[in-house]
Amino acid sequence: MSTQTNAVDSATFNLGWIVLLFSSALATLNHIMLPLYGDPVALAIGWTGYSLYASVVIAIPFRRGERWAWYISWLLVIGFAYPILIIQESYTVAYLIAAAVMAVCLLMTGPAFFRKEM
Amino acid sequence: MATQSKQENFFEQSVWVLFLVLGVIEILFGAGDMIAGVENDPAILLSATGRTTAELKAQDPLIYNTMDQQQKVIGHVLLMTGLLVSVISLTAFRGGARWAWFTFWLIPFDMVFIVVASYINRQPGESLAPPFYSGLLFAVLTTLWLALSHRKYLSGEG
Repeated sequence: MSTQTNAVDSATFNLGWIVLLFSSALATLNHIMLPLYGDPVALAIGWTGYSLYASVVIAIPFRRGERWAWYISWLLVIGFAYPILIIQESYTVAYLIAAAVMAVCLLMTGPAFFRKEM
Repeated sequence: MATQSKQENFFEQSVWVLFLVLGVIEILFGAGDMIAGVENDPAILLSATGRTTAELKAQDPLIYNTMDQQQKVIGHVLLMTGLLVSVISLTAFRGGARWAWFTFWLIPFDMVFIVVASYINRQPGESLAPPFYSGLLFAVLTTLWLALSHRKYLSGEG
């Protein structure tokens, strides 16, 4: 792809990427278990699928430095930040904190995607 | 050089379009649920509780509010998933990335879970909710298209 960069091996990028991948993978595992906490199965299916697709994008095209993957990863931040506008409970506050962490990680990795190639 | 000129069959050419359409449908239904909550598709609530939205609202407003909020969150997640699926379809999947083909196999599995959940959650005597039928349709379509497009994704570099 023409937008692919190869500047993805800096320490800042790696730290941001690992935290992002860890957060989305952890979210996937947590969402699989939602029915055990009494939440509807439909909610579990939705959240699990969403966080799983996001994890795959972060694991593969994001790691390769494809710019579209960086842009689309902001959906993870939006996805986790938005529920607090609908439900004000402790878990939505936790989601908001996770969204803030993921936003910081995306900002940390941003320069690697937009560095001008020589 | 020789592999570049390999002819793609109908399924290989159109598989990314099917997933793009599915993604757009998820976006539209997700947006509807986010805005209208359980009122967006009252048949789901009727199938799961045996009561109409008006009955539940009048008899049990607390449960109605909880289910309405949950449906809005489901709509939000559906919208986000639809956006992810659409963008992956338009970029990596359209370009022939093997990882995208493997990842999209999650969709028929997701659909099967939706079908089973709709069936199990149905109250005795009530009709099956619309997601049962749409989930079944898309489970069949996505399985068929993914299976018949395997050559494109498994023979390249990935």
